[in-house]
Amino acid sequence: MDGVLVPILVFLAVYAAITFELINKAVAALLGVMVLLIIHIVSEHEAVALIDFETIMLLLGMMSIVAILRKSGVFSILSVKIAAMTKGNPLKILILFSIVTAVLSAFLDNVTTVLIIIPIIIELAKGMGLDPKIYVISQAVISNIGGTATLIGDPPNIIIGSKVGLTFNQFVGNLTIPVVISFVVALAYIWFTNRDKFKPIDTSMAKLFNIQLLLEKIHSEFVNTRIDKKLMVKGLACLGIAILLFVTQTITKMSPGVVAVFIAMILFVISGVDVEHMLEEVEWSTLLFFAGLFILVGVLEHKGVIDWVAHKVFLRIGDNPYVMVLTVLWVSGIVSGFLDNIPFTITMIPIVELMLEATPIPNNILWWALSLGACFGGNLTMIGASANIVSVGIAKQSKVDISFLEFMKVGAAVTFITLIISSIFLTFFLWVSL
Amino acid sequence: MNKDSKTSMYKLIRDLSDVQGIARMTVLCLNAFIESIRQLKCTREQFDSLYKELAHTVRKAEPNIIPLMHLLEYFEQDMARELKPEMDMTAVREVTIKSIEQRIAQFKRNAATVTQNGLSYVENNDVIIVHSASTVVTNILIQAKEKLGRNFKVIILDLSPERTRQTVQALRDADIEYLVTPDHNLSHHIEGATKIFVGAMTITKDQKIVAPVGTAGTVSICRLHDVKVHLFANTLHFSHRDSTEQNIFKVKEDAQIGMVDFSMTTHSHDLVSLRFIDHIVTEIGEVCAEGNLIAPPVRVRPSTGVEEEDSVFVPHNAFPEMSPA
Repeated sequence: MDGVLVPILVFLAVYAAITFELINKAVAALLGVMVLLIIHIVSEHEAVALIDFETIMLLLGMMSIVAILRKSGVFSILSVKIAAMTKGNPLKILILFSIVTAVLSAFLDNVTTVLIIIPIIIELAKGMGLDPKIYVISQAVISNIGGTATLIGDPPNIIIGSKVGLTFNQFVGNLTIPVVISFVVALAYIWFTNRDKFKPIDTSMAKLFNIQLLLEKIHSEFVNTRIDKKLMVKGLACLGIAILLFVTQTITKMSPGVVAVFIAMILFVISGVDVEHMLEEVEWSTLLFFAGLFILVGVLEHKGVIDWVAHKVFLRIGDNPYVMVLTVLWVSGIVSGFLDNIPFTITMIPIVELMLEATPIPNNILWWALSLGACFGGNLTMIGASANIVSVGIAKQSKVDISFLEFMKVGAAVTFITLIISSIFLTFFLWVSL
Repeated sequence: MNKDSKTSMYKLIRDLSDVQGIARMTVLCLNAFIESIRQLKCTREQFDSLYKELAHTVRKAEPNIIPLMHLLEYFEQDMARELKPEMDMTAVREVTIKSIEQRIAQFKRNAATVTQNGLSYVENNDVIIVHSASTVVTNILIQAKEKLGRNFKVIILDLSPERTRQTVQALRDADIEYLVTPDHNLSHHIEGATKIFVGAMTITKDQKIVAPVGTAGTVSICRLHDVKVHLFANTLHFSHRDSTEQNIFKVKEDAQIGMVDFSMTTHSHDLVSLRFIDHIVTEIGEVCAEGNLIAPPVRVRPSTGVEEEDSVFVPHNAFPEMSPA
């Protein structure tokens, strides 16, 4: 482990800068990379080779498809239809929006999902004279749970899927059960602990009247001005084809990254959108952040640091597969609550690979443990996942201030519940597999 | 209803009437009444007080929605006749919803008649300015083109994106030539204009109209250039009260430009004197601004002789606890 001190210090400094939001995440990661390049810890060519372009392509493709779909107004229609279906019933608002959030999160990135859902749910709750806080927190939490179900639902899954070579179907097949159970139980918990806030308002004619006006306003604000039917049809068709190609990955041999970028480019061509404008919608800072982190972690891996951490920390827990799986799950869950789960996942992948080399565990169960831990753990605190930060930010713009503790009160309990459910599921899965 | 809920309702009503226009807003409110009655879970005894709470709140809207207030009065008269104490909630729902549906039909009939009457005011080669086009004004333009084959041009004054979108969409679908310009740019187009069509939320007892923001300035410019001002509104928009009693929303907010702090007062609607209106067209035809405006029947409480416009008519005991506003 020669010359490891500088990469470790750079990595820790970048981690600190990201965690405490000292500077922009992408800038922090790339600044760290630049330091390593300047002092010749790694060369430019080596650095580029460390980037996992499969992950970057998958993110770029999906971001482009989502940007065009958002422009078409399809998400506005969906949200308004759901709002109308709730008829102003607080419990229906919670349940229906949560279902939509979970499903959308499974196929879109969580930040996009909360950007669509949170403004409408705040408008509904406020208009009904309800406290929007619990609705905002619930949707952030549910988006993190829903995103866990698929390869493309949450960044940790995209990273795990791309780096390890797990398919879309493997994610759906193995994670749907714990995700659905976690969704139902988390929702039940949120309802039960806040049931006074979800009482129906159908005993007040004035409130019912207000709701009708509110739904009409939401309809005219979110739908009337923002629909491009042709674009919507093309966008949805392309999204459908992309998902179909993800599902048939083992037959087509096309990796998810290739599928996503290919379909996005097709969509750019057939939709006739202003490509320059659409590309502005892509979160380039996130892509640069990913690229930077891949290089930083790659350097640590080459220098033997990851190997050292794996042997000194994770491999010390022994070779009992149950202990290994639960350790990865809970460590991932708790750490992801306080640190960004993207760098954490990138860091953990080589560690898990080393653990599997030492003690093979069947059916990729250790990877599912990492996925469930990293995704569900994001709910622990307000800073645990990007969707949480964005949700709280949107709420703040609408003059709804959610404190760190207010979020954690719900988020920590949901994290604990979902990690318990995951523990039971993984233990059973392992017992069946061994 | 608490103060926050009332504030929220009034803002919703203002926002919707800005976007949809007062006619659609009135129908929308009546439909909201119907839906509320459908979904309401209460006993027969509770129904009256729940209705009163809502009606009282709606009557205090900022600004007052005069057509809605008149229609609610008619509705309450119906209820005083139709509702019987022995009725269960199913029957109450049926009777009340039927009555409100009749009021919606009445309002739509009136609007259709105003539209019909307004057709004769569109002539070939007219250049018509429309300011926050109401449903009636838009329908007049469409029907003048489609039914009468009139050739004219419309100058749409852009006030809000949604309102402009609706008007442009309607005129484009009817193949009517139009031009869109911000209302503050009207001076560049005024020379060629022949008429201006406006709608109004309310026509007040003191001979003013309560109209969307910007109407007063636009009407003034038109008057200065001898562009005839046409107001299209059915008589349900006529109020028995003065403009000062229309509850026009007023807000005083702190503002800052550069280093200078000040407070700014904003009103939600304009007031325009009827003296500046050349033609007032209603469902009974053109009426004169001086003296013979025809408003819906004014009820007088026998005991006090006070006119009741925004209080509930109490003939029997349909809503016995309702007090005048």
